[in-house]
Amino acid sequence: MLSYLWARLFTLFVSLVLSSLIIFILIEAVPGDPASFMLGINATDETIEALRKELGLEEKILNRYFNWLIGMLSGDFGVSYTYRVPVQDLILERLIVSLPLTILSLTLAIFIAFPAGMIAAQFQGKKIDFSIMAASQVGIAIPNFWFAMILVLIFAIHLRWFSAGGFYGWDSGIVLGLKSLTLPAISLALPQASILSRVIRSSILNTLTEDYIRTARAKGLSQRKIISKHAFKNALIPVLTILGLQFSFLLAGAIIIENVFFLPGLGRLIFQAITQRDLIVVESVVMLLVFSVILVNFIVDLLYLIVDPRLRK
Amino acid sequence: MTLLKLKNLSLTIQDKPILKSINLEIKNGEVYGLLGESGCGKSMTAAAITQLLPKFSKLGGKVSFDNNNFIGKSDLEMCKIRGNQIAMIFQEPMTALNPLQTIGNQIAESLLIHKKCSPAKAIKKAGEALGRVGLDATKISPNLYPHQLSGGQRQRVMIAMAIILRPKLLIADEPTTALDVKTQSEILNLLQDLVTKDKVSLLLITHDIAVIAKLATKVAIMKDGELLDSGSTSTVFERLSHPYTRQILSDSIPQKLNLSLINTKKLLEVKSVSKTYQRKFGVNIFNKFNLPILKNISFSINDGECLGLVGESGCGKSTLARSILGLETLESGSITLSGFPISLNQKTKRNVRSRIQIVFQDPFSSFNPRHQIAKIISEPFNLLDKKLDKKIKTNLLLETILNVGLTKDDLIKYPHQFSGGQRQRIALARAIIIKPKLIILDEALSALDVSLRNNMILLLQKLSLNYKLSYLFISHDIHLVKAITNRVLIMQEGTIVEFGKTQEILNGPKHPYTRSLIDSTPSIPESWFKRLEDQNIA
Amino acid sequence: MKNISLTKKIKQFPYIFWFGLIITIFIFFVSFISIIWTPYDITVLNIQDKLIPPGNTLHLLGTDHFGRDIASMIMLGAKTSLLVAFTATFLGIVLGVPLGLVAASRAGDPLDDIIMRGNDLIFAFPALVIAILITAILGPSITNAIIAIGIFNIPVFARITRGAALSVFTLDFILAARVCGKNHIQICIEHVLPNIMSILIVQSTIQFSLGILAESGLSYVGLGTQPPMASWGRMLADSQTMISFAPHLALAPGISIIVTVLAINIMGDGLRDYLDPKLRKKSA
Repeated sequence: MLSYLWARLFTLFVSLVLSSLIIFILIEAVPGDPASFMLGINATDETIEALRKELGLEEKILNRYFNWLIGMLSGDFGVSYTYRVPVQDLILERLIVSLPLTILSLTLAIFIAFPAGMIAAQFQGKKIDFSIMAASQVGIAIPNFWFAMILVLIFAIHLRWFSAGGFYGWDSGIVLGLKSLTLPAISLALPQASILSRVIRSSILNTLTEDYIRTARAKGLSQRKIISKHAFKNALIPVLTILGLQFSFLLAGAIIIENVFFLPGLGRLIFQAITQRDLIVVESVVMLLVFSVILVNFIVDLLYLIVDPRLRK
Repeated sequence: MTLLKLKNLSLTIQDKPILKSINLEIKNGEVYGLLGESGCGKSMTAAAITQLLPKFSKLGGKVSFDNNNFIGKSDLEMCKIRGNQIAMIFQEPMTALNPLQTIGNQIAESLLIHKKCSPAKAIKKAGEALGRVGLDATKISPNLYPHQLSGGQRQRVMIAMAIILRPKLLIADEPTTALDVKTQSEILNLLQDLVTKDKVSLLLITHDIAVIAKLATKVAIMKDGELLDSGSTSTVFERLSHPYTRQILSDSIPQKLNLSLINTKKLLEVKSVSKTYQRKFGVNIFNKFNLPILKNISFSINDGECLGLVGESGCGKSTLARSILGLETLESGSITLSGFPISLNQKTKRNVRSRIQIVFQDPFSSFNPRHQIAKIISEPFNLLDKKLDKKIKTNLLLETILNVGLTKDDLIKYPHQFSGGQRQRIALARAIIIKPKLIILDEALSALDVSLRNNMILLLQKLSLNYKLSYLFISHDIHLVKAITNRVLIMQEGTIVEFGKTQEILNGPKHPYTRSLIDSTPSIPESWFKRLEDQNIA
Repeated sequence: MKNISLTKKIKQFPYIFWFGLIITIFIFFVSFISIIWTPYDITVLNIQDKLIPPGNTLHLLGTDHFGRDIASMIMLGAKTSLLVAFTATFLGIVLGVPLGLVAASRAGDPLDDIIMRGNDLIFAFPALVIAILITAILGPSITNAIIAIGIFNIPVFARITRGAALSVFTLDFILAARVCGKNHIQICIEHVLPNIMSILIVQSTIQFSLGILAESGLSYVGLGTQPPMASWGRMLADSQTMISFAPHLALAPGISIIVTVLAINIMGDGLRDYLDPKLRKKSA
């Protein structure tokens, strides 16, 4: 068990170092140098020189990389060039929108997908299975931002139940805050729930062909008990894997959906930063996104440990 | 008292008849053997009794258990009987237990669903059940998971699970087929004990007459979904009134392999070969441990002989075979064929490697399912130094396929169009096409039904004459080794414990390991063969 | 004789597969046509005909706020989508499959570990993030979209190839081929690839449809296809502000995406059911 844990921790560490290196090198590779790139063609030599100093571009590349890393570890992500505020403050301000959105839609997806997938598996080949599978097939095919637009058209423009976009802010109360996240979360959850329910169904059906299921039948367990006591937990292992992989889709989806609803989240921040050529913000936000994907997969690895005793040697 | 009675039981699956009018009666406390080759419908009989049938099955006739007809009962009603009054044991000990639950919980589960019982008490009873199947509670705790147990121990856990509620009928479907000889005899003894102690009836399903001979008091013989012969075991096999009974009994005596070309010239020499496996542990590349797999192995194979190699699974047989084929790096020692060295790191010359070929155990995974037989058989041409003329190739292909008893038309077929026995012939064809000196038969006859085995042995004999072949016969089956080989190696945990003339070693083993192997191999009583001989003479 | 076996083969596929296949072929056909002909030239603006609702005899799907014919834009958008998705899938196969094969043939070696950890690392960069990084540096373009989606596809194919190849490598006929002196490359090409081909084909259809979704998403946020090239995603982005009074602008490209992705997925599912005998048995 310890060796598994150490191996995972080691992988986590190496992945973080390597991914930060990749991001750093890519940002370094901009045409010209970062300072002149950020200022555009109209910049004078003096302003470029000033920015170079501010960014520390005079230093050696390796030093800069380590300074960046050490800075991030101590919570200092640098100063945004366009906003003139520390990047960590910007990120934090946006994270309180993006993080609840992601968690909300993930929860929603799980709560839809598990019952749907399990029902489809239990009634395999029946009408209800067919309907759930057909619905999920369509759910996968719908682009989430288009679904978001249709939700806006129906619930905001026609029914006027929700506002078409924007965020009230948590200061105006949790209810209002959650209300402005409802449509975004639903549109994000739809494709996730569709994929997940298919994975859950097929994973349970696969598990049901195992020899130990036959053993359970011979013991006199009913089909329902077999699914809940034997198939479900065993089917969870591949589902966990997919859940971890899906997280990166969820993040990407959140960035796009924030644009549909004009939510002031990380997605909006990064697109503004791209148009304003604020490389420091881009670099930090991308690092944060990649970090969260790696972290989630690490957590999934730890969950395996709870589910599967074979790893606990 | 009759416990189970099958009356005119018939079964069709998707309108294909599987069982045809089966009639049998099992009394309280008796061991009833159901004997038949693979695919004859014996497992389906068990499935029909417990009503655990695949989709689209149609049952006819009567299954009465304790004067209670099962046919037409709902699944929920059957759930109350399964595990409670009828329990089952299956063949695959490695996969038949849920890997994510402790063995204690899995054994206790039957108690919890059928009886009112607190979980704590159920676990305690599970511990007692483990004791009853001979698993020492101080060593095997109910909190262990299946992956922490050996195959034999898992099979005991399966049995504990089956007997915890003291069912009236135990159905064991090939309970020992996947186990090593020694574990097999232990499990059979355990089943015998349980039957005598608990007065439980046992329906023993097997393909092995020796297992029937050891355990069953009554027997039914099945072929193509029909019961051909039944009665008390000794009567059935001593009278031999049914021709099929006579046939399977005579088939179960392995054909002797007559090797007339043996001389003392050494063909293959293995000199103090050692190998350790570097096994990786988990995902970490730094964590490795060394597992000695071959320890100082030395022996030789003479020209024209058939050398046996006997040992349990995991003793290093397969590694040794791969080393001889030049597919493993050796740590020390040397292997030479007619004086030319074989090893991976010395880039063994192709013409040396072309002298050795192999036939595997599993006739189903031996061939690329997407290749035609012609392409499969001609793969060894790759080992020849110069490319053969197309015409010569076609002639060789034809000659070879005819030599193994198949036809010209078979060359353009695909593997899935052949039966298991035919596939082993194809495997032999692939092995002999470039006229090697030595063929390794890695459990090559083990997966075959006995009725096909003797024909294969005759084929091996013919080929050894035609092609001047020597064989290395790897097997766990003492009877087969006795019939086929002239010298034998006994291997245990990577070392050779005995080496010499087959008759001398197997009739008077010196090493305790060899002796225990021989003692635990079930055999068919001599008295059964007597009648067979008498009939043959008459 | 041959005809009989052909109809038998056709019958082995579920009906829904043919449904998906016909729609897919139709979409490919339309996008090929768009190279040489579209009903209207979409680079010409025609303000007096703006926002015509669908059902018009001259403009079947209506026009947008510049008076451009929606049907023509959908046709050209199909071409863009298929081009991006196809190239990105191709990139993923060409780079991912060999990586997966090497990893599988060296299973247990450090090389396998390195390849698979590298895969995990690339996997931590969602296509959108790659596109963001590239766009931040080079500016937005359709090539960026292809590269971003293609890079994302590499670990997908590497992983699926390795997994499938590993189970083939344990079979005896691989050992038999080694006994016959075949080297790793020969074994991979002759024995492993043909036996994992069906899995790869099915995965390609999945990645292809994902590519179409990804292209539309990237173009929607302005990281993909740039004007004057037509793209379904861009059409959706343009339609957003007008959705309350001209919903047809959002419906046409949206439904095009859904139908295309659905058709390809259905086809892929049917193909998998046919190619994977294990699944066929299960459904029987």
